[in-house]
Order: sequence, then structure tokens, then C-alpha cells
Amino acid sequence: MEADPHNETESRKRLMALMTRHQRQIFSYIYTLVPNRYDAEDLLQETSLVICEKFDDFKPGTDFVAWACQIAYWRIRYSRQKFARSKVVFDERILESVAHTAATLVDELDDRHEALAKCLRRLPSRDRELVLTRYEPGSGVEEAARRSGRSLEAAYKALARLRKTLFDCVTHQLATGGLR
Amino acid sequence: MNLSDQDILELHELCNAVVDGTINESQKARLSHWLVTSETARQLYVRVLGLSASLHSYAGEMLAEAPDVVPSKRKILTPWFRAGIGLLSAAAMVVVTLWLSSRPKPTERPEAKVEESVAQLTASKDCEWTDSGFTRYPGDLLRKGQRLELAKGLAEITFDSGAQVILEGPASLDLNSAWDATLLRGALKANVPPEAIGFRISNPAVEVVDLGTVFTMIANNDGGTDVLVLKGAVEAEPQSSGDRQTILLREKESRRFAVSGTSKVFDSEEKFARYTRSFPLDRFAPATGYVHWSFDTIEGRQIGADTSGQPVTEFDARLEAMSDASIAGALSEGWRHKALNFDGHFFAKAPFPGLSGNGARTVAFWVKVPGDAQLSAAYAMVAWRAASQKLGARPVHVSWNRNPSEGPVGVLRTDYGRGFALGATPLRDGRWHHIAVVFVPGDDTGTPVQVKQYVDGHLEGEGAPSPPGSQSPVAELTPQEAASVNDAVWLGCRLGNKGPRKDRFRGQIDELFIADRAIGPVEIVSLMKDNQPPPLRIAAAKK
Repeated sequence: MEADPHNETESRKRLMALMTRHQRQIFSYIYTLVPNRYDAEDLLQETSLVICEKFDDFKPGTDFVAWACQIAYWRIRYSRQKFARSKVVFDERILESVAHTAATLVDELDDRHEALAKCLRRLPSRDRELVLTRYEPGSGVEEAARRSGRSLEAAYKALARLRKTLFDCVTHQLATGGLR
Repeated sequence: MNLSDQDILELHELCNAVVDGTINESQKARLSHWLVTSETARQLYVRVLGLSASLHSYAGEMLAEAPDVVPSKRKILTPWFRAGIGLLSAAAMVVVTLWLSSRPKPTERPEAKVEESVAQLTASKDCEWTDSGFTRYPGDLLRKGQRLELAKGLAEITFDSGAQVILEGPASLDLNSAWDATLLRGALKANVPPEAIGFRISNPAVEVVDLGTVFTMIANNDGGTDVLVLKGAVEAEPQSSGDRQTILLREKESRRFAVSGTSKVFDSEEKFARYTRSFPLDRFAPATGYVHWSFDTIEGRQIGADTSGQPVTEFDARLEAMSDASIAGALSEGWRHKALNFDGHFFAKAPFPGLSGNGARTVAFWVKVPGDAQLSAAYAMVAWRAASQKLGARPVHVSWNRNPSEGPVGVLRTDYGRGFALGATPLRDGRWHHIAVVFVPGDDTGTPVQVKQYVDGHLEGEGAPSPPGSQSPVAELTPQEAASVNDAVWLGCRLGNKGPRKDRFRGQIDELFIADRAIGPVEIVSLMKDNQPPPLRIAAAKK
């Protein structure tokens, strides 16, 4: 029997909406397990393809992110050897433990992401510029050091300090319900 | 399992190494241990890595907002876009819109401003700061004129003079200089070593000048201030208009100062008991990389270098401008075993990769200058050629001052960039003196290099800072010329642009250390006393 084209279109629309809303959360989940931007992006791409293929298996009303993260986890396990260059390739026991913890924190990470925007705004402009340059696509610590006129060592130190500052700010904001 | 402050700091450091791709095997083993054994550590790890994931996301959005910034090598291409490109092109357009949403804002570079550090946060416990909205951590530099507002917890502040103050929240403290602070409210315990005698803390009720001691000062809400001397003695000058006669308070003595006059501290016994005890503090000190020349032995013309007791032959110094026959006289009785005895003719040179750059460093050594040393024998004990934007292509010289129009002749002098720092102790007295010169380059081009000089462990005159972001052009040298003069430490001679000039230092130098960070005043005293640089420490300590 042929698939109902109307149902297929509706299904794709639903998939589009879910991915649009949640792909950053899935990326964060992947990144905690494969902490290299480009590897994580590749994995998100592969995961997205699997999600497309298996979307008929997804039960509407259940947790899409949890379902997608399960798919991502198995893609990571399947692809681990590929990501040896990321320097941090945990053994399976650690990978499983971290994956479990990451899955339980997906919603919190989403809240933290929102809070981070406010904390970034509170940074002095030159600090904010350094951080964002570091994380720009195609950039890195060296580029951030070069553009800010810092030595590489100073850039590493400043970034470590700023990440901690932002982390504390985000934690503080979640604890107090927002920056005033 | 709860994580202590130091556990959290360590985990952040490990996560930074993960994110930046600099993690080494031992760090990886340490991180793995944490992730296997502690759910709390795993949660922290996930949150910290999640922060970087979010920053990648925000930075991608910002880049899309600013097409005029430097183009990236790899434009962000939403994986979902790539995955669905043949399948869901309309959907992909929506997603691209999500990631690449708004228009650019030009980036702004604030004007450079001079921010002189006068102290450092060296330890803390459960601190909450209300002045910044952000948490401070051990290692943070504290600026002149900065007000610290501590809501709760304990914070140890080490002033560049060597005075250490433990601030107990809630408290408010103004940092006026390396020698001077104002306690606006709350309590502190000050530990002032002999090198920092003269350090003072004031407030509207009293000014306390330390005579080498441990004392406590409590600024009460009623405007009165209690001063309790735990050890040694202080001079306390009431600030009330009636009686401003200085009071000498000795060990176990206390006094309350208020606008109405001075009185007894009615609960002094309880306060002495409280502030005599040790405070548990978490401290974190970075590893110190260093090279050391003991000048104890010589082989041919080579003088060995070491680090942590292990030889590092690539840093060996070579004696120059002397005949083979006179080499034997190059070493003489020193401060510890042998010393290099400069006769005003020869000099020494040791390769030191990276020395010409703009990194933080500390140069420390013992020196003995003859009482009859001529002005022509002042330059230089230690020198290297800078080749950086901040200091230009000028030599850095650690010598003694021979220019009477700029300061007392014979005191320690460090020339750097277009600035120089002068000490106070005359060095031309035929005695051994311990010298430490600390270079703090600042985080960015807008911050001038700060130089702090210590003579016999005592902070002596901070430098006239180099011009912020000095634009002195780097002189053009041929590769051969640059290789022969840059990235080397020169001992006993004055440096020109292309190598040593005719001026030679006369005197003895012993136990030279060059460390790769700005060493603090307490550590400098320790180095002076023990001849050992600060070790790597990640440990809780009591104070």
C-alpha cells in the first residue's frame, strides 16, 4: 500500500518543527560526549539523518529530545574510532555514565543556555569579544589571541577565567531566578 | 559526594583542557577518575561542557550578525540543514533562519586603560562577592583603588608588599595601594611579615600601622572599630577629633576606637579566641616552570642550568670575552657555594627560548656589588632583548641606577620598554642582596607591563609603566642577527640592539632563577630563604 502523501507531509512538518526547536539541545548532548565542535556537528548531521529515517517510530507525545539523544548516543558509540583526534575519547564505561548524566540534564542545559545570553551581555565588551571570537566557527584560541593582541598563554588564561565567570553567573542566575 | 572549592577548580581546569584540546594523559586520567567515581563531578562536567556548546551556538549567531568581521575558514552550516537538504529544503531554510538570525553590530574596542595590580586573591573559602556579580577565585589580580564587597565566606588577599589579610564576610575593603587598605565594614585578620612592616589599615575610627605582627580589626555597625593584637605590636592612631595621640598596642592587647573616644573591648576574650584560631582556606597556585643557574661548577666555558634538580643543558650559560687562562677565576665564593664573579670584562650568555616575548616572568638572584664599583660598571646584572609589541625592540636591563637625575645612585634599577623602576636600598655596599624582579604583562595590548622589584624580600618602588600598548617598532634584524641576540639571557653586560655593548657589570651573581610566571611576595621570601621556587600546590591550607 502506498503512503498517504498528506500524512507524509504532516509528518515532515512535525519533524521539522521538532528539530528546529531541539537541535541545539541535541548538539549540546553530543558535545558533552564528543567535545570537538566539528566532530559534534558531524554527529549531529548523522543523527539527524537517522532521525529522519526512523521518525515513523517516534510516538507523538513522548519526549522527542530523549528519543533523539538515544539515537545520538548510539551514533557516538558506533563512530567512536572516527573521533580519536578529539583527544577525549572516553572508555565505554565513562561514556555511558556521562551520557546518562547528560540525558538527565538536558532541560537544565536549556535553561542555562538562555541564562548565558544575559551573562554574556554583562561581560565587559573586550572580554565578550574574546570569548565569542574563540568560539566562532573556524576560529580558536590562537585566533582569539591574535585578534585581541594577547599572547597565546594569556588568551588561554583569560578564557579559563571568563568561562568560570560565565559559569558562576549562569548558576547564580538560575538560583535566583534571573539577573536584576 | 560534595565537591570542595578546590575540587571544583580542578574540574574546571580539566574541562578547559578538554574544550581547548590541550588535555594531556595525566589530566585525562584524573578527569576519568572523577567521571567514574562522582555523579556530582559528572554533573559539573556536563554543565561546563554545555556552556561551551552554548558558546559555539551564540558565537555562530554573532558571526552571522557581523559579515564584516574576519571571514571564518569554515562557515557554520547547520548539520540539520546539511542532513535534510535534499529532503526538506523548506524546513532547512527555517533552521538556517534560526541559526543565522539578525544583522551585524560593529565590534568596539574600548580605550586602553592602566589598571595597576597591587594585590592578589590567594585563597578563599565559600566566598560570595557582591561588588562584581561574579565570583573571584584565587589567582585573580586585584587593582589599585578596587573595593571588595564580600557578602560571606573568607578571602585571603596578599598585597604586593607581602602583607596578607583574611577578610571575613560580610565585609568591605578598599585596596588603596600595596601598602594601604581601608576597612569600611566587617572583620579582617592581618598577618604582616617583617618585609611588609609599615603596612597600614585605616577607617574613619582608627588608622593602624603594623610593626610586624598579626592583628585583627573589626569595624562594627555602630561606627566603632575594635583592634586586637594577636602577635607583635601595632601603632593605632584614633581618627576622632578629640584625641589623636598614637597608641602602641602590644600582643594580647585590644582597644575600641570610636568618634566618642577609645575604650576597652568588652568581649575581647571571645574575640581573641575566635581570631587566634586557624581559618580553613582553599588555595590554588599554578605550577611554576623555571630555570636555575647555581654557578657552582664550570666545565670549559659552560655553566650548567637545571630545573627541579635536573640538568637542562640547552639552557647552559657560556662565558664570553675572556681568555682560557682566566676562566678559573670566573667563579668565587658565593652566597651559596660558588658564584659568578664578574670582573668588569667578561660576560655570559645562555639560550632561553621565548624570553624575548611578552610572557609573565620573575627573575631572582643574589648579588654582591663592591662598595667602590664605578658608574661604568652598573650595566647589567641580567639582561635580555625584548622583541614584542609592548616593550618594543629594546633591551630589558636589571642593573643598579647610575643616573642621579632619575633617582639615588646605586639602587636597583630595571629598564623595560620606555619605562624604568627604581628601588631604595643601596646595593653598592659589598654585601649580598636578594633581588627579585617580577614582570606582569597584563592580559591584553591595552595594559602596560607592570614591573615589581623586591630587594631582600621587600617591595621597593614599582616601575614607571611602559606606555600602554607601546608602538615602538620592532627593529629590523637579519635572521642571523635576531637569532644571535634574541631569546637569550645575558649576564654581566649591557645590551644593544644587535648584541652586547662595551659596558660590563662588576660584582658577583649567585643562584639565578628565571620563572615563567609572576611569583608573589610570600613566595619570593620563601625563594630567598630556601633557594627553592614555589612548588605546584593544589591543597587546602590553614591560616
